Amino acid sequence: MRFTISSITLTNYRQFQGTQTLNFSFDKKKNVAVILGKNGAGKSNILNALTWCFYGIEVHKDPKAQESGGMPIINVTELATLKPNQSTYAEVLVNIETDIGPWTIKRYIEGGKTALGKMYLDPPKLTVIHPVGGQDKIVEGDETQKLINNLLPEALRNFFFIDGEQLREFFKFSSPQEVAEAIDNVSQLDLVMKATDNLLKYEKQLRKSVKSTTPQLEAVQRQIETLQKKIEGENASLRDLHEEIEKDSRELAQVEDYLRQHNDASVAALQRERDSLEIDVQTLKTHLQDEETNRNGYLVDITPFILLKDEIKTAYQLIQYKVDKGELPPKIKETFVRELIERGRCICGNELIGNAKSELEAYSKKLALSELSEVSISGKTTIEDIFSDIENFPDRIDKFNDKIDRFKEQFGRKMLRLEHISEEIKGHNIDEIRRYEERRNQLVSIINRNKQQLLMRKAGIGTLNSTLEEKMEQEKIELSKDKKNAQLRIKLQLVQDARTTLADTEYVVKAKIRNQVEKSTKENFLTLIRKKTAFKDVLIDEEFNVKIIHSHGYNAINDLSAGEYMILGLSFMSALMTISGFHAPVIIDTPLGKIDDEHREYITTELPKFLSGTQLTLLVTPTEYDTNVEQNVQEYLLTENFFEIMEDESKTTSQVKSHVC
Amino acid sequence: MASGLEINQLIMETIHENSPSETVVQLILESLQYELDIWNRYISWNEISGQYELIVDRIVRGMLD
Repeated sequence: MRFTISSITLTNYRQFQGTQTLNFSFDKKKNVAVILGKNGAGKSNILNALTWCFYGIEVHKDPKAQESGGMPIINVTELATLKPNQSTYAEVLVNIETDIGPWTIKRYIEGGKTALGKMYLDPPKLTVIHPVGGQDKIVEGDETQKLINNLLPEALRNFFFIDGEQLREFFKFSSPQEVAEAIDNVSQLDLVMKATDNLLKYEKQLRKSVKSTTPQLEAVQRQIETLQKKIEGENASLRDLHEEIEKDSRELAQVEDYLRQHNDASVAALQRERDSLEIDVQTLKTHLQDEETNRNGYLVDITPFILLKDEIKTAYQLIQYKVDKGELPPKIKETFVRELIERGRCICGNELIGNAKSELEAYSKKLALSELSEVSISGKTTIEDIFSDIENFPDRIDKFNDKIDRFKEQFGRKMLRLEHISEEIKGHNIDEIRRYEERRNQLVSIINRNKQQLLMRKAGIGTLNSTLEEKMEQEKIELSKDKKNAQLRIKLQLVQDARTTLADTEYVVKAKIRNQVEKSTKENFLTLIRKKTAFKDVLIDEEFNVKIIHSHGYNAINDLSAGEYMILGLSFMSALMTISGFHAPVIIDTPLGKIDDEHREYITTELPKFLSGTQLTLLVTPTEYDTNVEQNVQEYLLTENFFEIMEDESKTTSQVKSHVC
Repeated sequence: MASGLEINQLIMETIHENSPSETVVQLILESLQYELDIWNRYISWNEISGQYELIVDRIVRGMLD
């Protein structure tokens, strides 16, 4: 369903005391709204108000404020005026326009002081008013969240209600796991996964509900249960390992970024050299593996011929001897000879005269030998090729080995340089740099160890799964021995088939969506990026690593500027938005912070065009909204969609008003 | 899950392509519909398993008839 926001009304919500309403007009061409406010005035709380209203959560809070508990959800000034036994409330009400008419979404929370003066907050209540059969239906309770999820699923909210800073940092620090999660969310496979889980639980229950009729059946069912528990345990450990790797990888990215951005130019240069060397090392590793595979394949093909060289030579000499003696006549097609005898005339027009016909008839009887000759002659050619291959063997194997040695030598040289870089940084005279380098090395070693463990555990799970499959086959055999179990056997088979199909579906759909996201992110990125010729490709590999391929062929993901990271983030989010199929407004908090002027200019001119038809609200600081940005946005901004948040002198309450030019 | 989306179509096509039989498709579709009905609601396992029992029983009876 497509929707746009027509108004947001805040009542006593955080710093917005009393009731304040922002009315939005929507025009497909003039699709931009601007909310201007200084840092701390309450811009992020407008975004929080939306996520709180829709999903009951405030995701865009300052982490420091979250740790200390921060500002209460009901306006502090309002709470301060309460006497014992008095109460007040906060409410966010959002009116939206959908394809089927207007909706109202309202979240309300009541709080107050007890008789003893202690503060309390009641659980929030959500109300949705939406048109059904031409009339407004008011929904409260369980059904409300379901209605909102139909409008815009919670899992997709981050692609529409966007924190600019998080978006800029997404590809700088996020791990492949986070990219995979975003793609998982957009794949909308939650239902498939829930059904798979519940079918597995039901299958276990089915197995338990039947009394085993033979000791063998009892034993195999016990084994299945044990194996399933083991697999679940192993999968949980696998998830923990994954999380640990992700956490450490994120920290590693931050540590390396610290070194990369360091004021000491020598440290920054060393880290950049290391980035480039690591890409080379990975490429060399792949080349080395490929070349070793090619050499081994060649060895497997040629070894039998080398070992049987003498026998092949004997066969060749035998054929040659037969040819020399004329025992292997040249190959003549049987049909040609028969036609010649029948017609009595050659294709050149000459008649068969004298004994020619009888000689030909005698010759035709030897045709079986002629067929053999064909095989032998082609065998002879093949053997000649084999001889040539055997002769070329030393040269070819030397070429393979030389290439492999060259790769190994380059690999060794680059690894040595990597060690030297680390030593150089560790020897730096600034303590903090040394500490960061030590931590980097620790993290690299922990990540590598955990990755190895991950591989081993995966292999272990593979073995357990094979054993489980065998046991399930045994179970079927045991069940078929007793007619009483016929129905259980059918049920188990049905549930197992459904689970397998759902697992296959999950895998296939995820792969297809990943390809679509990759394609769409690339298109978006190459459209939005300023330096169009600098980059030639955007890739998301099977491990969900995002790569930006520079026109010189290297992966530039670590070398992007803040503006380029923002554009990559926007391109990725936009790809996910499109693929999700949901058409909701896009609200971006501080989209231009820390971005250079050129990209600021580019984003403000290109983004409204790029999201044409989508309601786009920008929450900006006066610094972000400079004269250039103002001029660029003007073309897409309706005057009535320009608001400003003003703080009072005490900076505890804010008012949101139409902007006065 | 909103209806009519391309992803839903992709999921449905993949289910049909990978299912060994129509009865398996039927079980999957009924399971997904049930999961959609109870989406974001706290339902006890007893109730969920009872519903799965009903779905599987009905399909198996249909197979045996």
